[in-house]
Amino acid sequence: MYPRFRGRHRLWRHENGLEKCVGCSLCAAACPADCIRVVAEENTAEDRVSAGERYARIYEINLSRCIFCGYCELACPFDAITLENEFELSEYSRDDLIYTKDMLLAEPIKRVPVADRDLYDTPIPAYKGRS
Amino acid sequence: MSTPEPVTVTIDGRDVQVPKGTGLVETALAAGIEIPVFCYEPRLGPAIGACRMCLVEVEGMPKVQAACVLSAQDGMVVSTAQSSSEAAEAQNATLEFILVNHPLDCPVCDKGGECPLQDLTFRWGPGASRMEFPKRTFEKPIPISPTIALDRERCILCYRCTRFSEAVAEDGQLIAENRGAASVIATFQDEPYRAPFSGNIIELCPVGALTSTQYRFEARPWEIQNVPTVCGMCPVGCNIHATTREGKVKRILSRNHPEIDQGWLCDKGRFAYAHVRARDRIADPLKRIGPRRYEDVSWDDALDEVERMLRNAGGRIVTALSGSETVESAYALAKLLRQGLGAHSAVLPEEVEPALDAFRAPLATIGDAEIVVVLGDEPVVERAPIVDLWIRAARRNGAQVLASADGERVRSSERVVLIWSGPGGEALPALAAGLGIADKPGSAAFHLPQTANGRGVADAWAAAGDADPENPEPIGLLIVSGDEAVANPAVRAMAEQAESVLAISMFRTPLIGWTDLVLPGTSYLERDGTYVNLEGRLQRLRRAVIPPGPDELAWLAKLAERFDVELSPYPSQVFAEISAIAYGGLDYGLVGEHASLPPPVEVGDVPKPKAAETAPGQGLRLIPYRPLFSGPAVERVPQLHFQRPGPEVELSPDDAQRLGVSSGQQVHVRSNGTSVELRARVSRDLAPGAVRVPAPHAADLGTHVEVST
Repeated sequence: MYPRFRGRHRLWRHENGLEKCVGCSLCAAACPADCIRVVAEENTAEDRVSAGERYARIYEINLSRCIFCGYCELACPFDAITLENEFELSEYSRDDLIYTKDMLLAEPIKRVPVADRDLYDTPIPAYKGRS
Repeated sequence: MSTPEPVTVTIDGRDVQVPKGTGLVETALAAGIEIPVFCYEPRLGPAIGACRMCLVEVEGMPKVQAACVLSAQDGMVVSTAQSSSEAAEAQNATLEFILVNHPLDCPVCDKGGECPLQDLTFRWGPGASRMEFPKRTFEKPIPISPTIALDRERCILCYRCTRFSEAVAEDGQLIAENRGAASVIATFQDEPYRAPFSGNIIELCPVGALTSTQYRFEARPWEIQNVPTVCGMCPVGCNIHATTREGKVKRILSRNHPEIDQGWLCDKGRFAYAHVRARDRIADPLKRIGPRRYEDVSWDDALDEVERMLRNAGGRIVTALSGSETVESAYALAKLLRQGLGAHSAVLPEEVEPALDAFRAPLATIGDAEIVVVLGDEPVVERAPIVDLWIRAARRNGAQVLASADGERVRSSERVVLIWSGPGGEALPALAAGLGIADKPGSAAFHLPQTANGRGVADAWAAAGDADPENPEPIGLLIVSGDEAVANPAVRAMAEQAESVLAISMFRTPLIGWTDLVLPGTSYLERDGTYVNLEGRLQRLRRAVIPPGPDELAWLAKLAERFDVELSPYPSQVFAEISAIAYGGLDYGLVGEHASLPPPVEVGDVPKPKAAETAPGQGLRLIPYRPLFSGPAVERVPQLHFQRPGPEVELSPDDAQRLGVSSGQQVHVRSNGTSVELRARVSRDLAPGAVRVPAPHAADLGTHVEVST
């Protein structure tokens, strides 16, 4: 796969475990497909979720609407969201394509063996060998 | 007042004619040129030139000048940043300087996206910062009251908030502490900012230094819709924007109507909106199944039950109205009851005499008055807070504020405003007619009623029928419409006599045990319709959010079908019907975003007031008043609880001296057997012979009380 391929989004954490996302909604503002919903809340001393004053209590991306343009990644002031390489996003129900914050923070699940290069000796494309 | 002579000013090569003395910022605006500002706000009194954002070059002056403190003079030649490189460079430097200590946390800041500092930096400021040192930091956020959070790092010291506190609300609680880079905005001794107009500083702040704790992190400016509507918390009817996101009201902003509110709002109007999502809000009809037990019933079953109750009562129906209904829903209810069932008895909210329409004038008249006479027992700020701001504005403009309409000065003055705050307003039209106020432009008479739409409800009830009420005994069915009526002790007393009680209300708690059927009510933020404010101005209410159930008009129209009364479920059509009777056929669409005041009407005979009934009694006359921060909405907004008045009794200075009481002392207030311990406060605006107690603390006290230490 080409490394700059834009697949399913990923939310990131700082090294100390706090979420990078502060729930500023700039990704939602930049999104041309209007597929991101952010509801923010204030961090408290007992329950600190992100590094800033606020965090995203709800962060949802409707991947059935997403056009994978990567504007959210460009808009993000904290590099909290990136588009990764996962592309196998089929579901039996449309609702299952609404990815919540927990799903976006987690490592992608390897669901279909075809995708796993380690299991299958599919030929590695030329560009992969160079990088 | 004569208009000043016009002068010609040249701004960026454009000649513009303005009256002499116009501020340079407005003059530039008249020429179509924007001079950017932070601290300048004409409503806050004289400009102070604190932020230096408005720097311009003026021919004949050696250095760049702050435009906000200059006024237009004949022959002035001004170059703004658009034509003068010196001014542009000065503005650029000003912004760089402001940003030296301003944190760049725009993504986290509530103001981000609607921030003047952000906008002006983008347009006039430098693209990058040369500041290499760590920025000044403070502890943040500091709650300066339960409703307002202060972030001192973001403050750019424009002094808008302190000027508001000092020169508009005149509470003087907000100050700037220390000097230079260490200056911070603070309340005196870090006491909470407890004042009825504190919320306005949130809107005045040009950066995110003062934010609302209720709105904090709730929405970003690109996610919201602003619905232009009218506040339904008091009879002033301030124009507001209800900010909504995802179908919920998130905040209330002022919408400047220069004749009514000048863009100010009281804290009740600004923060009490949260009652819409109160925990005990009723969403489905409730039917009583035991002494204190209720069950949810479907709307169809509920309407069947209402029909049965109405038919069983056989016309022996009394309706208690709140004064918070829209004109349309009050008319719909009145039409169903009066035309469909012949039930003409009603308990109406405190009325404004229709004869006062002869002295109709906008509230702004108070600001230009020469003499303001405040009559009636209750404090103005507790009934109609914005009127209190207008009286303060008048006093700053040199007006005299009196407590009596007698005297030669009042009679001879050309600009007199009479304000009646409290019950007993029937005497006002005769008084105003005696002073010839109808013939003096710049004079007016206002009665401040208790409820937001008391006038409109009275109009609607009168328009629906003209038979006399028969006051049935015993009452077959008592209909209690709205939460003010639910809280009214007189209505509760009637309910004990009534065979059955139907309530239309928003909240569950106060209804338990005495109502037989409850239908969910709606808030002013959930209705379409019209309100009539204390001036007699018809204003448009717009639905900001969807109510949990059908609104009053929807189910009243269904019910009316069963009684063969023709009633539309649409406010526009109901309004057309009532407008033909009561409002001269005004079109619903023309009520408008900035409603205008209809001209005064000729009222032939001013009714002679009945002689004021003063119940004889021993001791001091007790005036219980309903405080601004009380009532069902405020009770359900925890952030506003600190504003509720404490257990206090107000005494006049004469009585206090006679009884040997000073402010802050605990006193016993006694009357026929009951005694209450209250804190005394000596109040200069109270006449001798009376004491004032907030109604929630007056308990069972009679009309006359004894005060002792």
